[in-house]
Amino acid sequence: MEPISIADEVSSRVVQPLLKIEGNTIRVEGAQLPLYSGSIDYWQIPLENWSKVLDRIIGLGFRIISTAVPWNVHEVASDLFDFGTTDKQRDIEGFLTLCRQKGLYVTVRPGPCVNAELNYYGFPKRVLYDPEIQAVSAYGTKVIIPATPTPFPMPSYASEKFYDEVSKFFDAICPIFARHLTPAGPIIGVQIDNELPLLFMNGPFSADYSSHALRWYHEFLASKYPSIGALNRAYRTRYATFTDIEPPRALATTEREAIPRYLDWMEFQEYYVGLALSVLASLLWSRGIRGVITFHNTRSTFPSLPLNISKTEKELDLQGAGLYLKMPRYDELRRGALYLSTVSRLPFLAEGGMGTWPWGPSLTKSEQQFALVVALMHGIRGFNTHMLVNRNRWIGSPISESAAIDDQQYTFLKRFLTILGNLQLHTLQRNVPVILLRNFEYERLHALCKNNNWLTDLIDIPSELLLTNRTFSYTETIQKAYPALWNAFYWGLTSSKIPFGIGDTDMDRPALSQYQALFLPTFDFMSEDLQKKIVEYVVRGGTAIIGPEVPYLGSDMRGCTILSDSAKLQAPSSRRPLVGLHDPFTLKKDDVRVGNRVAGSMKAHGKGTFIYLGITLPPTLSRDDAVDAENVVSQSLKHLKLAPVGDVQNPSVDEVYWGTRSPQVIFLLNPTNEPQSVSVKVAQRNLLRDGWTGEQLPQRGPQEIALNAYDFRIFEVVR
Amino acid sequence: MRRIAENYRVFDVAATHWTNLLNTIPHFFSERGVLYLRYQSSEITQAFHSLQGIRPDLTGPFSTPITVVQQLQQREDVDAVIMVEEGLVVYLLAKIQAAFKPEMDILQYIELAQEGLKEELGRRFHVWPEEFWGKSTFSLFERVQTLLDALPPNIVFVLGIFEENQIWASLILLRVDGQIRLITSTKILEPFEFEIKEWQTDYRSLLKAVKEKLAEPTMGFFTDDETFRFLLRSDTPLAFIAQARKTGQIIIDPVPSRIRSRI
Repeated sequence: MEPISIADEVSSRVVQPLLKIEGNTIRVEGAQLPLYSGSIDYWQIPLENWSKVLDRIIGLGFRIISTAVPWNVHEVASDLFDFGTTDKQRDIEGFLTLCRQKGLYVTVRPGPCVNAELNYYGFPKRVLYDPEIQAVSAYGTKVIIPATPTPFPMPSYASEKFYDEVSKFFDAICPIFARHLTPAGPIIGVQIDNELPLLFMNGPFSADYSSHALRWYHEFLASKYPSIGALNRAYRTRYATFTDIEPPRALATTEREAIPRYLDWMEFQEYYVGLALSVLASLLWSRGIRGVITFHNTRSTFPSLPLNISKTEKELDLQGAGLYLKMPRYDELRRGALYLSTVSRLPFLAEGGMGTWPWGPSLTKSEQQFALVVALMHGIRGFNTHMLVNRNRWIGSPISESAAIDDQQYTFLKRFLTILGNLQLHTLQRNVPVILLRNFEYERLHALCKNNNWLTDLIDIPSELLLTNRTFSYTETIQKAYPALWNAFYWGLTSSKIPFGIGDTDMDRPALSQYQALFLPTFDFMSEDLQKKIVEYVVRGGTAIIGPEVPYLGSDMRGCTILSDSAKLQAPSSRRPLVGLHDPFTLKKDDVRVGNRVAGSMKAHGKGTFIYLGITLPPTLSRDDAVDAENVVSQSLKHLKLAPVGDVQNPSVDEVYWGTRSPQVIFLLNPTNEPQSVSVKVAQRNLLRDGWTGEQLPQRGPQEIALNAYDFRIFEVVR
Repeated sequence: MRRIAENYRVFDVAATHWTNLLNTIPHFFSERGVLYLRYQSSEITQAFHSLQGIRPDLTGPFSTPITVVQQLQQREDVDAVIMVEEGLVVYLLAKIQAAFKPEMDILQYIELAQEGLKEELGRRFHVWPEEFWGKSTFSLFERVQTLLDALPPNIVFVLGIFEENQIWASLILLRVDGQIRLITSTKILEPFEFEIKEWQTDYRSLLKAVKEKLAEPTMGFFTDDETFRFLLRSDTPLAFIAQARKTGQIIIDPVPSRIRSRI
């Protein structure tokens, strides 16, 4: 076979029409199917049990399964593949046929990385030890993934030889897949690779410095800057060509003028992940795997950069997340669900954890159930129960390899799927008037300034210690001030009970305009494009709450005052007094005060409003210390007359009302370890029916509901 | 040498047993807090208190690392002070990635990191009081490594932990030539039902079932959940085991000769 040209592969792929995703469902063979599925790995389930196990899955109510198709399971010798000819256990075609016979749809996961607790995460060892394929660290070493039982060198996803090798596997497997694509067969989706950002797990300068990756780096720079002159202007350099540019290998500056080069290196990692997924999708597409949903998975529920959902969903249909969190980490889960449900085409947990890998988090069954309910409560609309069926190196699935069931998990899932079906949750929307934006420009700076890696976790060194406190001549240490203010906004909004979503600065302006107000921490610099986007958002009627700085620099750290010029916003000369506990904070038009501790201003602009908050809030780490943050948030939104949803008397309980005109489904959840009670607001004529038990509450109208620690209730509103 | 076989299997592990076992692993909680310092040359560039957060007031010049960790431990009334030179962890990571060999298992790879860090103790990495290091996650791995190395290279090991005559956690481990080949639990014995009136005597039927279904056990370790938790927190585990055997709170049966001499 001719060597693969990555550029040719990518450019030849026509973007697939996304006809298969409708709302929060997939349209398959004329039916709208919620994306609820479960993982079963056929190669680990005794052949004689396949049928029994699939029947158990059907008994739960699932219509879709997901299965890994690992490269190193099917490659029995170099470039020699077995799909059931010598070992029936590897008969993927037989498995797909059986699924079709039983009326199950399938999403396949051909990797090339599948993890699946396999040695080398499913890569053939020979591929990983080919020096032409290995990723390279800033120090010129291999990039070792600390996997159990055997660590291994990570491949460079920029290596053409790597894709040559992947192509050989895809050449072998894709004809089988192609024969089984819906409607001829059961395959409706392909998960492409797994947790690709793992390559960058060891910090901002961990990878990839291979010659292949540097070629991608130079291509990225050439695509970002219209000319080498433009780059030189931003970098304050005199490079003759893009290929002359050396990537940074450590944070070796204290000057803000040098920062653009570093921020580009961080953005390049997002580009790298997106391009790698795009190449892999193209390899499948060119081998006939078309018209199915493509997706990728990341382990984290609230993904951090370089996993950039806007970028990965440009290449694939969906970017899924993982779900392995204990109850005390409820808010991480909530943030993830709020974020995915805002930015993703179909908010989907590609690994909704049921059970765990042996060395993973020791989640109890109750914790796993709790997490799944929380995810759906806050907007997740598709999930893949992972693993639905136990296998080697996995513990605690609802179904065993021999089709025995774990009563507690099996009964829960069966009931949960029934409830989701009864409530038609995937069809319900809710009014979300406010969005809190993650500012990726500062998150890149934050990631750049972090130096933690798997080793620091092992030594128990807190990541806060390793975050550099250089200011780079900015007004303050943005990498610390940004997350602090973002958290304050998050907790303030949470306590206000005004429904909000979490988005990011890569969202386009029309998407932002669905919200009446946005919160965005802003500091000294902000790219020209982002400044324009925010101005445009306000001109068209939005309220943008920004601060504590009005940006005066662009991403090249040269003067850029689009935002301040447009809105005539100016920071007060003596800025940002700390808002003290319970201090009055009342914003009036054009108000910028320091002496009486209000430092903000409200300016009409176009059809909308700018609210500039020139303040610093006290550290806000939970809803318990969100008094000031809530005060600021409420005052900032006052002119919009947004009504809180739920019982404002008890900010400790989370309530989500689904249904746009009037609530149809109400989730209540107590994320604390203390009992709570909450007043549920429904119209006098309405009754509440417990979604879990089916029991109807005796009284009509508002109800007082008691919740135990980490307890949840789901109610259907009956008219 | 590898301690985990490349083809090791984990199956039929009862989820609740596994969760119970993992949850017994002691995680040190510091009541007075731990102070972490980052330094460069002779200046503390960052200070983080595990209970109070960032402490900018503690940054600035110092005389010697050992003096400053000792002084701050006393002055701040913390359980320990850990001080790390800027760039050390990145340097260590590069070092172990360069030293990695394909035949290594994860425990050997972690050992590389442990060796690297020990070399730096007192040089670019400082812990005060020194014994605090024994409470770290890192040292937990050392304990696992020590425990595995103490066991005979070929063993069928049965662990049964009881709570009011119910099996609260179980683990069956098969090791061949020093490498773990199989991790499972009493779930593998199903449909065998284990009736326990007195675990101190009825554990024998568990051993019998393992023999019939899997292989003849060469070591069995049985105790109750409370004693097991105490054991994991003990600073002198061998002495604790010896004492608990006398009172019947721990039963080791059979006892491999290699182990008998140690307890």
